[in-house]
Formats: sequence, structure tokens, C-alpha cells
Amino acid sequence: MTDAATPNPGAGHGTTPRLDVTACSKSFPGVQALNAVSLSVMPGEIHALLGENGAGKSTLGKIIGGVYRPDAAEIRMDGRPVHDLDEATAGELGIAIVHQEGSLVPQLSIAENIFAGRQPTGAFGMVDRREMHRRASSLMADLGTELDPATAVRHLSTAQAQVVEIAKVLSRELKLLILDEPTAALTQAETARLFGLVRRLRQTGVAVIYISHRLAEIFELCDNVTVLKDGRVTGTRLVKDTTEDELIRLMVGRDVLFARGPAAVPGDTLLEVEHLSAPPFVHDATFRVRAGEIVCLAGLIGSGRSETCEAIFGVRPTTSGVIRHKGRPVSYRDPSEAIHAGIGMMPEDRKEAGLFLGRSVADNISVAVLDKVTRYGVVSDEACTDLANRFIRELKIATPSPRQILGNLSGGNQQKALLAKWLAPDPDVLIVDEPTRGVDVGARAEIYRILGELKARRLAILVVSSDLPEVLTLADRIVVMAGGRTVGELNGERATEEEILRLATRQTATAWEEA
Amino acid sequence: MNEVAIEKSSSPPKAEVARPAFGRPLTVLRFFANSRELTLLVLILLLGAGMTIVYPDNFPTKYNFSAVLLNAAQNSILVTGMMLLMIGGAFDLSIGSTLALSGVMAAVASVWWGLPPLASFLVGIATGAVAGLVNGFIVTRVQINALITTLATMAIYRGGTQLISGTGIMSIGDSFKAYGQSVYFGLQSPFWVALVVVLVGWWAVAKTRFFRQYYFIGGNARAAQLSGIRVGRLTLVGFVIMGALAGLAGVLAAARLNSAVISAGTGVELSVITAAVLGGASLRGGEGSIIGGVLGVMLIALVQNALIINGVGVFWQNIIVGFVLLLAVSLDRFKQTHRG
Repeated sequence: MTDAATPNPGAGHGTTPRLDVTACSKSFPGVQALNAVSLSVMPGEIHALLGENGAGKSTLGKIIGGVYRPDAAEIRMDGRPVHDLDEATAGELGIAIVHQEGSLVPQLSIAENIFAGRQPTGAFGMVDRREMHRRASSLMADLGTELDPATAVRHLSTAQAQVVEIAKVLSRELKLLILDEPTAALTQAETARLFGLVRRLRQTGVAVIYISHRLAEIFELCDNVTVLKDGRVTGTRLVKDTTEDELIRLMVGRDVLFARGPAAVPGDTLLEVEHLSAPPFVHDATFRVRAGEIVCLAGLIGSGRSETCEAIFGVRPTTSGVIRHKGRPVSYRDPSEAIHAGIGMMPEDRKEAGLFLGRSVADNISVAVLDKVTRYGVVSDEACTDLANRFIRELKIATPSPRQILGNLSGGNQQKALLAKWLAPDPDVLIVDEPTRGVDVGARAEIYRILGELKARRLAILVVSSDLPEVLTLADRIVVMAGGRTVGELNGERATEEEILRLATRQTATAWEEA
Repeated sequence: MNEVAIEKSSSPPKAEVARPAFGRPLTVLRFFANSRELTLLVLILLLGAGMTIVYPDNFPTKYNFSAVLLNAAQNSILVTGMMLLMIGGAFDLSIGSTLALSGVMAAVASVWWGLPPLASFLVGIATGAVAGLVNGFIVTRVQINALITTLATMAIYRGGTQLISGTGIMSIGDSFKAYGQSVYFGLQSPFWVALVVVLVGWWAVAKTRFFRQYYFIGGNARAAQLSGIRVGRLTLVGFVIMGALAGLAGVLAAARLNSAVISAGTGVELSVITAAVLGGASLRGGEGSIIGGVLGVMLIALVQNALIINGVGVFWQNIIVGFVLLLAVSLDRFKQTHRG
């Protein structure tokens, strides 16, 4: 904590911090997202916010950008205290945030997007299209792009759209720019151009907060770095005085709350993936999962882990490589084929892709095995309820009845119902994408216990997780992915968070040097 | 971290059945809001009882009942298909045009090609099925949404009907018209056909595995796909069933009038969707039952009948049906705000 007070070196733009945040706290139901965090950024400084997935860096960025209200915080801009910071106030103060998600209207032109709601007007309040396009062109030229401002944003690439986002930000007075994972979807050349742009902004005295978990980028671009872990600041360093190892050490070391289960006694290889490609996210994935073991796919967000699973499950077309299921090369074109063959996949976003919230627990559990609860084409409600009751007992799903509407259950129990749905077809390979996202500690322990039992029942289990302590709790083997490639394998019992992070970030660094 | 928070805050901390009481009147209201079929049934009975008391000479007569049921028959057949589509998250605006096209094709088969009545009848139904197949193909394979697709085919099928038959085909033939005009137990054949369609549809959608899948598709299409349900194929089948039922309604209408008129079924898509929504369907999909849709048709038919007996003008009838629809949808909102 005391590290946070380390004075920042001014970059020759005065001695008052552009932004000074003291004791900022924010909690969401069940989670202390930020705990007394302090951050200070000078004009003309590029300050990195570094941390694992879920460390609280995006939350802090959103508070400074006025998107979230903090529970407690003292915020000063150029020495003046700021109260009730919301998005409008942030705009007036010259604070701009470029989100991961983007804020452009795809159907409208570049110029319309840049000047949304502030279009230059002529007689009778009509939009002065020529003036608007002239100003948009000159802004885009400043950013080193020559796009026709009349082009609709939906025709742009991700990188081009991001330039438009930044142009939009620059079209007003800018004092503090917050970039949240800006390079996640960019190629190396595009990233290099973005960095050039950020450096030019620094020249003009703009302060930049750069949120990332890519170490290479921080060493490339930033002056200072503040590391967050579990919502607390673990250190603030001058980038030139620190090392990758030190930063990784500051990022990791979260408490491991759960004991590891018994070691695997692996059997036959049930799922094998060799040089699998499914562009644009998966480029070369190779790994195998044996009966009776849990393999975790670890890596940064956007490293192609979920997409690899989707390719196996028949959701995403592959272009090259081999998938072997129980020794036979397979290529499922639809999830129904994969399910029929004995693969189950619990998707990452359970509300979007997993659950039928408006239907009953029993319906949700039986959906993938409707043929098993059907006699002569007629669904037997009794068989359906029996099936549901069996899993409600086995997985200890807290529901008053199998007929309860699923949406009325807690997140953890919804997640268990989703697991039940995938156990009902009796698969031999189970893919679980982010098994405990959004569930409380108790349900988390339950889910770990269930996965352990499935392992004992000789299922081959592939877990995708962005939560490193979870990976270390569950995995017999850890396969690390970066940039759509499998870059290494670690022994789950002996691996450390540092090793995983080093593999997951090193690849990015190498890619950097190639560029 | 944000995702964590959002999910947590939107789901209640614990599963619960017993929720805080809203007070007795709201409890009663909620009970009705949760069973759309029962609500409709009660409304129908209340309206029927009221009309019987006020107009004992005109309303509860055999003639009036058979007229109401005959009028409701066509929409009951159509609402069976529409309800299935809407449960699966789609709908079809082209059914009125499909109905006219099918009637004309049946008449063409009978009068121009000289086919026997049963064969002509089947030609009409097949025409409807093909029209539905085209809709389904465009929606699921070309991936144009159902609104645009069926809006376009609504115009295309109607235009095609006119192109084929000019002003229509009159006096199809005595053996053909028997299909639409025979009377059994005091009710005309379209009523009996509708009864069979509705009962089979009700049973199939409520009970069979095949049709159960539509609820999952409408509830969450992506999750359904990932659960191994063939979403595209089933949606296609839904459109074919809708088309075939519109074809059936079309040939029945042609037989009843003994002529295929090109304006047959104009505007029927809106009254059928109205009835389906009244019967518990939602434009988002995943909800509704065949019997609900049919009760919706019955309520509208009865309201119209009551208005006619009251001597209320036809314009007012439209206005009142519109209000009934808004009322039903308000009930739907109530149901959503008071769930979980």
C-alpha cells in the first residue's frame, strides 16, 4: 500500500498531478472490487494499470472515466477536487475512456460518430456536412489514417474503428485518456501505430492510463506501472527500474482457498487436438486429454481458448489440423453430433449460451437428453422430473422443486443445473468454460468437488479458466495458450502462477520482437 | 470483475417459492396472469353469460353458435401454426396470401386440370406447404429475418395468385364444395377439421419431444443450438407446417364458397397474431400454448359477435379488438415485473 505513494517523475509538464485518486473503494454484491486504491498520474505520463483478469483494473478505469460511482474516493484533477464524477462531468473535465466494447454506432458514418450530438451546424440548425467532414478528415489525418469520413463505421476493421474512437475522444479537449485493453483485437502493425499515437499525445501533455495485462506492451510504452491484485495496489514502479519477474510477482500470490483433489490416474486418451486452426482466433493448438484427468487451458483473455473448445464441439469451423475423439479422427459440424458422440460443453456465458432462464429446472436439465425421457415420441414429465431429482440430489442443487423456474435460482445453483444438463447425456469428454464465473465461494467449492468426482468417474475433463488459483486447484496438467497457439504445458501439481503468466505473456513478447 | 457483479446483483441470493405477499387482490390477479388459458376461459364464459342474459333471443341460439364457430374455424387452424412458429421465436405474415394462393391452386387443379376433389384438395395443401418451405428456407438459410421475408412473400404470393387466376375461379363444382359445406351434428365441416387440427396440435406441442424443442429455441436459440437442438432445421419445419395449415384453410374457404377468390385471407395474419398474443405468445418466443391461441381466437370471435348483436358498427369492432390486445399485453408486462 505504501508503495502507491511513491512520487511519480514529472515528464516536464509541471508538478501538480493531472489526476490524483486516493483511497478509492468499490464493491459489487459479494465482491470487493477495489479496496482503498490510490493512483497518481502526471501530465504527459503514460501510466500502466496491470493485473490479472479480475484484479480490478477495469473497474478503476471506469470509475475515473465516470462510468461507475465509487463507494468512497477522493479524486483531484489538476489539484482541484472532483465530486460526483459521472460520464458527463468526466467529459467536461477532459477525461475520455476508450472501452474494449466500443461506443460507435455501426450504421453511421465516421464523421457522424466523431461528432455525435455535437455536429457543426449552419443555417436553421442544419448539420454542416462539409465542415463536419473537413474537421473529421483533419482529425483522422492527425492520427495517420486516411479514411473517407463518409464511410459507415460497420465497414471498418476493428483497428480502424478504434482510431475513430480515439478521434472522437480527440475532437474535444483531452487531458486524460484511459485506454482499456486497446490492443486485444489489433495486429502488431496496428498496435505499433496506436503506440505512436499515444506517444504523440504524451508530447502534448495528455496523461494516459493504459490498462493491460500484457507485460511486453508495458515495457514498450509506459513510464510508470501500478499493479493491482484482488482490488488492492501491490506496488507502483518506474517501468525502467523494474523487471518482468518483479511485476509478475506483484500480480500473483492470491490466496488459494481450496485444497487440491487426489492426483489423476490417467487412462486412454479420449480427446486429442493436433495443430488445430480455426481462424481468426485459433492458429495452432495441440494437446490431449485422457480419461480420469483434468486439463486446464490457461491464458490471457483473447488467447483463443474458448474458440478452440468451440471448434472441437462443432460450433466453429476449422481450417486445418486434426481432432481425435476416442482415437478416431472426427469433425463435428453441429453440437448435436458432438453430444451424440459423447462430448459435452458448458459454455462460458451461461445466460447467453447455456440456460433457459424462463423454463423449469427439470426442463433445463433434460434439454440435451430429450430422447431419453421420451416414449413413442411423447415426453414423459415423470421421467423428466425423475432425471432432474436425481441430479438435484447428486449435485445438491438448492431448489424447492424441479418445477421451479430456473431464473429464480442463485448463480451457483444455476451453474450446477447447467452442469447437470451436461452430465445427463453421460459424456466421456466434458469441456467446461469458466466453471465458476459469477458464483460465490460456497458454490465454487461444490463445483470443484463435483469436477473431482467426475474425474474419479473416469471422464476426460477440459477446463478453460482465467482464474489462476482455480487452474492450480483443479488441473492435473495445464496447457497454456497465447495468440491462438498452445505455447507450453505445465504439471498442475508443481506449476506456479508465475510460470503460467510467464508463458502466457512471453509469447506476446516474442510476437512483439518479430514485428 | 464487473461481470461477476452484474450476475450477482441480478439473481436473487437464494431460491425461493414463497415470495412476499402483494395483498389479496394482487394475488388473484397474479394467478390469472400466470394462467393465460384460464383467464381467457373465464372471460369467454363471462361474456357468454352476460350476452345470454341481455340477449336471450339472439345470442344463445343454435344458429348463432354455429355461425360463430364457423367463423372461428379458419383462424383456429391458422393460429395452431402461428402459435408453433411464435413459440419458436418466429412468425409468418404471408399466411393470408398463402391461403388465397392455395385456394386458387386447388380450384385450378379441379377446374382446369380436371383432378378429382380429394386430389385438388391435396394440391392446395401442398401449395401452402411449398410456400412455407420457401419462407423457411429464406429465413434459416439465407438468414433474412422473418419479418422482412414474410412481408416480401406476402406480396409475392398474393401477386402470384392474381397472375394465375385473374379475378378468381368461380363455381368449382358440387363434389368439391361438399368438403366445405357438409354438415355433421349441426356444424359445418370446417369446424370439424379445425377441431381435429387444434386437438392434434395441442397434444403434439404439449407432449411430444419433437415439438417441445420449439420452446427451447424460442427461449434461447444459442443455448438450444449448443444443447444439440437443430435450430435451423426445426424453424424450417415450423414454416412448412404453418404453410400447409394456411393451405388447408385456403382450400376449406374455397370449398365453402365454391369459388377461389383472390382477396381471400386479406388481413388474416394480423388477427391471427393478435389471437396468438392474446393466447400467451410473446414476440420474443418461448411462451404460449396451442389451446391459448385457440381461446384467443374464440374470445375475439365472441367479442365481434357480441358487438354485431349490439348493433355496433364495424369500425368500432376493430377499435375494441385493438384494446383487447393491448389489455392482454399489459397482463404480460405485469407477469414479467412480478416474476423473480
